[in-house]
Amino acid sequence: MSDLIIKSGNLVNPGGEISGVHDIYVKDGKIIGIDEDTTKLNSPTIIDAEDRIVCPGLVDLSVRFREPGLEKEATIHSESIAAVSSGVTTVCYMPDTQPIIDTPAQIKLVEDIFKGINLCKVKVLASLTKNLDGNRLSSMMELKQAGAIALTNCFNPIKDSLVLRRAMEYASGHEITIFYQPQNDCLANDGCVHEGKISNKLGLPGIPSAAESVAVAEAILLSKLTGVKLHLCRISCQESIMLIKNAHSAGIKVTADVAIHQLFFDENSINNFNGDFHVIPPFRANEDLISIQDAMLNDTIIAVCSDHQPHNEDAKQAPFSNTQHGIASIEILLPLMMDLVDSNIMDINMAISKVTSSPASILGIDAGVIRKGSSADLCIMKKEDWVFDQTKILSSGKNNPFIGKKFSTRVDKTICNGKIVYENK
Amino acid sequence: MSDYKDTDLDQNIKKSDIVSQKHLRHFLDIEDLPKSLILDILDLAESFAGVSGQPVKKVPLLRGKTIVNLFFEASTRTRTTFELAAKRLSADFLNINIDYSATKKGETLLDTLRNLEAMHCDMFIVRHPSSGAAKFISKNVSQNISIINAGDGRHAHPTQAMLDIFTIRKYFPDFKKIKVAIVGDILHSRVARSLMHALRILEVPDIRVIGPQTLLPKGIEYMGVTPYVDMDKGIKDCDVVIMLRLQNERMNSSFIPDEHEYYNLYGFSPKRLDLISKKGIVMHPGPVNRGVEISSEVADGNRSVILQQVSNGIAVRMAILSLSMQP
Repeated sequence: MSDLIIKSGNLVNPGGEISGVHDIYVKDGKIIGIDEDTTKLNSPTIIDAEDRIVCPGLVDLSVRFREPGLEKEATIHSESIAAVSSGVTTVCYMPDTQPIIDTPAQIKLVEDIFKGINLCKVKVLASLTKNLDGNRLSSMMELKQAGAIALTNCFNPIKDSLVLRRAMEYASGHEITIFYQPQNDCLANDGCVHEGKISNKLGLPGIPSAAESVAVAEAILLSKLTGVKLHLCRISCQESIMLIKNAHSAGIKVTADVAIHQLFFDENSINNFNGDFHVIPPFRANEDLISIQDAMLNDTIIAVCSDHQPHNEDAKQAPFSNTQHGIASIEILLPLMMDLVDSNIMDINMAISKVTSSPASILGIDAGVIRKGSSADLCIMKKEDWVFDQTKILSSGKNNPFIGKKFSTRVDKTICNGKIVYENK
Repeated sequence: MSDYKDTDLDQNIKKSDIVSQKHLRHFLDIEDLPKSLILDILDLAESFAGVSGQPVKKVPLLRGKTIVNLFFEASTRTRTTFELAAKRLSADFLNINIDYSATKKGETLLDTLRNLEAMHCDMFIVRHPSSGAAKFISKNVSQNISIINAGDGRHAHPTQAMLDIFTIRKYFPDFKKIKVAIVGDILHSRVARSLMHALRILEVPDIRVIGPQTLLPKGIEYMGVTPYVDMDKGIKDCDVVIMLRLQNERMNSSFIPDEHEYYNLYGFSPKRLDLISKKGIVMHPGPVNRGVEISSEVADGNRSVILQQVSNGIAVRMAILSLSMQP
């Protein structure tokens, strides 16, 4: 691994102390100095970053790369390439693979595949209940000791409030973080779109906002009861945001994230039964989209993730309700965040913090910040107009409603552990 | 918010569904049809209505064409009236009933389509339990095949709505002067959705939907209708009351308490005939649940036009098939 000097880049580093134009010195995968070469680098590679923005490598709180078990949809190799093309250097790996990640061996398997590919880093989330059955607790402490960064039940429902309470209590005692995707399954009632204008019009079964907010309320109250460190995943409606805000006012330390696509689309996007817009939680009313954007600004929601879910073509080749949900969006995570900056929805510091320092703080890991001594995980961006073209998608999943969208920022280089893992050519 | 939307593409698809004012590419939904085209279809249906009364009940309009009834869901009335309509237009006709649960296990919908396409058919009449299925199929068949929607999930049943307004026009030629109520399970009804669009396009000034709150979708006002929970208030002075079938499974999933209470609150009993306008008619798309949503006295009485709806279904479907067939 050669040493690096990244010269004259404009640092956007919301979680750190240094910003503005600086040189970064990298040795053995670490940042060893900013504007000063502390150890005399050995014939370093010099990257000219003049007129470029340099930010920390992105930390993505939810990805599905489908391996092991679903390699016909995607692999860790194919999706890692897509991830680093968007400046992502750390991904949180969801456990709903086949088999489900609920043993230490499964965690090691995934970690080893990532190490072999050596493009981005992984933090594995393991299953909160055995086989994600929502009923029997997984070997929670063993999973933590094996490296699980947090535990989650993914989209699968927890059987009842008592199981959720016990899981939280047990996790609390062992300082385990729970990632909880709030959805009351009874109220969701096999719906596939937001219950509202479009579900009425198209006759598609709806999921009311209350399916989410009822689950959010329950989880917040149980986190207060148990003291667990709770992270709420993929918030989609204004009632949930109100509940999280109230929890913060009451001193309950719950965190929340949103999927990137929820900042761009509302229920109206489904008007033509286009299965690429089938997501869970569903695209909600326009008022919800506006509340989510507001919640980003006032830090009720501190993180944005790709919620990357690649599918093969067949998954979307069916009538809407029969399609698989999810968008393969990791490779445009950063361009989309920058699009929010260009549209004056938020400033660049806030946009970058939502995908770097904030998710790192939720995970409690040393990442998402540019500072001396930390791992050299960096992203260099340039201003350039480009179109997200279907034929150039790197992910195995082409299920993406953003195809055809114009962007004005693109990732130039991604550096992970001091190694250049992506270069735009 | 981003200025990027999927709507450009959608607009193109919508426009291509309607090739010209006198010809349809597909017949999927009422929502985007112009009023003039709806009236043209009704007029054409009027001219076909005579065919059924002739000794030789056939016209040679679609001779040499092959039409397939592709039903992924059980149906008697719709399936047979489409069959009769096609045969009276002299088309070759094939009925294919596909057990949806079987296709779920193996062959995908697309594979089923490809196979049928290979048999060189000209038109598919499709019924499917998923909303949007007809649209999906129309996007995935080759250029020379037309798709007729015979009911997709809860979304649309446009030929039923057309035959309903055809029947209404027989009694009330001026749509701009009537009050229409649709009663029952609005939430799950594709017939109700298509009817609401048709009545709105025909500028019916007062469209009401009546049912318990559990079966009236939240925000239904978007569709240009007024919801009522009280049936007596809802049907007051209406010229047309369309009763919907109540599926048995609604009782078991806590939408309503029981049949008895449902009949008391929303059943068309003889005494409710006094509430509607003097020349008012009662309709039902069938099959009728006697004693649940309508009493036998009303269903078989002189204000009921339920059987005329069935007969009219043939003429209206003849009109739609002939307008949708590719030359």
